[in-house]
Amino acid sequence: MKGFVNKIQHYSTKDGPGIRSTVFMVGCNLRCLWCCNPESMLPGYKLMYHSLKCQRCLSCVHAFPEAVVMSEDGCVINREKAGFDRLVDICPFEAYEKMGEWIEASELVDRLLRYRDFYEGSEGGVTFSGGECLLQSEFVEQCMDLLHENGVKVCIDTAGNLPWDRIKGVLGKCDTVLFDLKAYDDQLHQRLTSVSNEMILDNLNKLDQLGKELYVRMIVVPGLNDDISDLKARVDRVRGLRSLKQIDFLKYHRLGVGKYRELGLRYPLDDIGEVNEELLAKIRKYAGDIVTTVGG
Amino acid sequence: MNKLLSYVPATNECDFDRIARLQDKMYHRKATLCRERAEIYTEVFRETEGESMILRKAKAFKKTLENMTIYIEPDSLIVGNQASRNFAAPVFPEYSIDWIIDEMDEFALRSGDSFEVDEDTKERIRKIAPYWMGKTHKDEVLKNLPPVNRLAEKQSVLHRGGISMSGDGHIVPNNEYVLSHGYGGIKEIARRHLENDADLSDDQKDYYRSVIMAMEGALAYCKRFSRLAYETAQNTADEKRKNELLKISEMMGRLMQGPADSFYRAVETIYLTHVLMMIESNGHSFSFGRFDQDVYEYYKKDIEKGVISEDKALEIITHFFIMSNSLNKIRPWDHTQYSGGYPLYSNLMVGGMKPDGTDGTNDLSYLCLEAMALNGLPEPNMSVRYNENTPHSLMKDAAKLIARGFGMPAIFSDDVCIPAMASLGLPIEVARDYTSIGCVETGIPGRWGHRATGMTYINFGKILELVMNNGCDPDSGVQLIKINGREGRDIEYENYDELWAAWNRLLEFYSDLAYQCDLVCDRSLKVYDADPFASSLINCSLERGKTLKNGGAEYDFVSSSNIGPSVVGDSLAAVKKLVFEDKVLTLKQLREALDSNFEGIEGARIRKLCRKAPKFGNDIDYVDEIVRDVYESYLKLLPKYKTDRFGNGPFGCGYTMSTSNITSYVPNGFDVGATPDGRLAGKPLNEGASPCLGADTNGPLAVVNSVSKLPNKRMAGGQLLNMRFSPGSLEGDDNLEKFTHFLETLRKKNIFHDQFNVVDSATLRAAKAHPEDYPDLMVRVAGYCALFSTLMPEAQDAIIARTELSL
Repeated sequence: MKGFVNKIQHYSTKDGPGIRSTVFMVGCNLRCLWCCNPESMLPGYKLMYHSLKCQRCLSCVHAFPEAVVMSEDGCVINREKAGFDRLVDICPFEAYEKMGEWIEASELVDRLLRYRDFYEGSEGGVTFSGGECLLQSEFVEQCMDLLHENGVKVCIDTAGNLPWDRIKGVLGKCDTVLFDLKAYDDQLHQRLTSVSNEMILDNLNKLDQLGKELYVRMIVVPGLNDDISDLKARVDRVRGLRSLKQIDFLKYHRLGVGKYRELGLRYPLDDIGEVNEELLAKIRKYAGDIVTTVGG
Repeated sequence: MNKLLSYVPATNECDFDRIARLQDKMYHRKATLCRERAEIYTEVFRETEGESMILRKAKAFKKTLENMTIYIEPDSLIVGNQASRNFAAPVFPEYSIDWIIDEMDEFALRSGDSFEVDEDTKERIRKIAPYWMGKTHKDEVLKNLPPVNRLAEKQSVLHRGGISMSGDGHIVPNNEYVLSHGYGGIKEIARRHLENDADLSDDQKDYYRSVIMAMEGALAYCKRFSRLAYETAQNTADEKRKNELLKISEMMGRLMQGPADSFYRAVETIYLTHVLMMIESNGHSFSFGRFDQDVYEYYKKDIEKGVISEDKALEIITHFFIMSNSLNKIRPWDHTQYSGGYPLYSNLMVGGMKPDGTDGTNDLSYLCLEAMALNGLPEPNMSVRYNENTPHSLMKDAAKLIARGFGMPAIFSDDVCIPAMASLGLPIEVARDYTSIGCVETGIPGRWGHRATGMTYINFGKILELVMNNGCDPDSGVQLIKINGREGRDIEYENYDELWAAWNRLLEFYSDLAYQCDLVCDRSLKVYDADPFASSLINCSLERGKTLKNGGAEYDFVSSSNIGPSVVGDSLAAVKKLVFEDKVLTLKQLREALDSNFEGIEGARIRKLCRKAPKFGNDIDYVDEIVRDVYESYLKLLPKYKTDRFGNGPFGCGYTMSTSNITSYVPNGFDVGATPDGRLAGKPLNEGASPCLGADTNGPLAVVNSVSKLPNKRMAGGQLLNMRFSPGSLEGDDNLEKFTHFLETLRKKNIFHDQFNVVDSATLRAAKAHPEDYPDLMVRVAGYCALFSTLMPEAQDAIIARTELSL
């Protein structure tokens, strides 16, 4: 079967143990305000417009007068009315880029296996991420079976917001899970991600029963979810899990801002500043015996 | 001060403040010229008209060593200077001097590798110049160069390398032999040959006489340091330093009269031998070879006997490394562009397999990496060899050093390099002893006597441009081959086979010319680069009574330097796909777009198609195989080329291939118009075997996979891969561990050599704008490192443009 993939990143060092290739799947059922991968979060193909490459030649404006107009900052595109392929084709300066690709599982695995030597030496492997990769759980499972047949370990990076019956099969087969916990307070969780964390927390317990190597990832966003009490509650919530390997605190960053602009989207957050390092030190201390890391 | 990697000192015997002072001196070194050698050589040459060149050179060498200024760096444990001041370049008029006169007033104004020359020095060099007119190595080369070669140079296809106007260098002495015999022992061997051998030719007699004189000069030079150290000690108040100077005086008083008897002496001898070779000849890439292997026995013995501590050994090695940055070489501007950043390419290798097949990693391998971390300067050019039995801890230390961001060490994989050396017909135990000499070229220490690379440079990118223009160079109008039999640039290819045939035809034509150029240079070097001192340190030279260039080395393999195979492969792939397969362009449309440098909307549209065609470095078989074909098209030509020494003693005397082309990919790019891969006119070609600048968009693993498909196990001259990582990707132990695994995996991926820049683009841009704020920013240029601020702007841009692999 085919899966819808945004991109494959080789030599990923932040998505699980060892040297890994990360497959970013398209589509997510959360809407986190800080999401740095909007092209993976939203469904369907995306059209990026790189205004720095645009030479203001008007080729696209002439081809789609109803969809593209030229402004001082470059082209303004009505993506509902524009044909992505045609726009990409018409621009001589490569200012348009269409993102998203349907790939057959066997083909994706063939591409990944080319890097097997690197995975083996470093005890790494392949990570499925997104978006929410488990929205395409059958595809992921099919890829995983093929990878396992070839001795490659697989890691799932998930926010866990799916019915357990739908994901237990694939999670039961994988080797490592990266599980996001974005807020402990449910009201807060809903405000920040647009969904409740009830099922997520429930799934976390069930996942723990499977005994997979578990990394819990906690994003820290200034002014949104960096209240020490919520962080402590998140840490306490996972403290007793028997398969917990470590907690990764992920510092909010604004590296995704440019992508929103290129996708013609509004970035949901104002400039909310940097994560407080003292706070991080405090919460890591609070975690006590649990292994913690700080990343971006 | 630079921090250590893993080592924890047990005593205070290694004085880190002093290292910092020495280092600071080198960071702020000012390149100048020194006239002394030139004046003494001129004097001796005037006095010896009519004698053989080798005798004249030996006499001049000896007299220089007896009379040149010597000094001892106030803080250094290692002594020996090449010229009258720190970082002053001696002048070698017997090789060529015309360009020094022509460029004398420009040296200080250069955009890279500038030299300050005072008026007195200028005048005195100008004064000796007339004597040398018409008498130099360069004159001899120019006299014999076929006219067609000059036309190929005018087309910018061929570039005569440094050996057409300077010495060759590229010598790794047999250190074991030097340390066990001493200069005195070698002199004695030469004397016995001279007295006892029957039927010696005049050439051989002159050779032995010259070796004797050279060694006498070397020993006299040591003695002078003994006296100087003693005198300096008398005027030194500081007790510790005074004792050190007395120790140096004692050591230099009898250094190398016979075998070395301690670690300190062994290191001093290796350094001094290096300096002496660089006074004898102005070749470069005089290298230290497998230092940790050669010196380990001395180290072990001293440690066991308690003569020395590990900390002291670390201090001595660090001083040795720092002092190798006091040497210098001046090149004419057109050669400087090919090798920016004052490089000497003094290679030093640690780790790797021993001749018996076991792994040779020892305590010194680790100490050398630590010393390099403290050193942080461009010389020596350090590399690490590794194989499946190399300890992970050595590779981890190498990774830590790489993460420091100054480009060293490069890594060489035994799994690929040993088969490559064996492909030349070397016995396996000899092949296992390889070391790097120069950029990334490989040779066997003590047995090799010629540069593996860079005899003559062949601009592959330009040949491709000629293929697209019926053999006619659009710039100069010179046409040496008419592919379709007609004059002018018009050409039509019906299919890819025709295009490929044209490439092969032109490549062979120009390779033949490059070979002729090598021969002309070699025949002249035989006379003008007669180097009795250096030659006698290489196996077989003393037995045969011949210098290296006359057939004195045990093994003899050379290679030209081939620049731009990836540009050629990417371009051929683009034409094949766009014109012959997908038929979205006609050859005529493409050629017109190239002519206009992709100008206008139509040009941009065509360029976009070209850029979208598959590119080497992304693990795409379609184009990777074409790039491999380009390598094969050159490799298949090599069996017909033999060096001038063929049948004259050495084993081999053949050619191999190499992509160690230093910074030449930048100036070579100036000469090449727009290419079908979408590259704009004048932009750099690709560096070594690396992908074209910015063409690798799928990350480091894809680059490795692409390069792994090349015939690396037959690239005995060295296969260069250069990657740039963002500093963040190597930060923290977890990332370092991953990077170490990455390095270890390259061995299984058929990667000959890899080297790294770990610096972000913003820093490089800032350093280009404000060089004064970044005196210590060192970068990997090609097969060597240079301080970024010393490079010309175009080379700086090319380094900034290398894809930053961010993880």
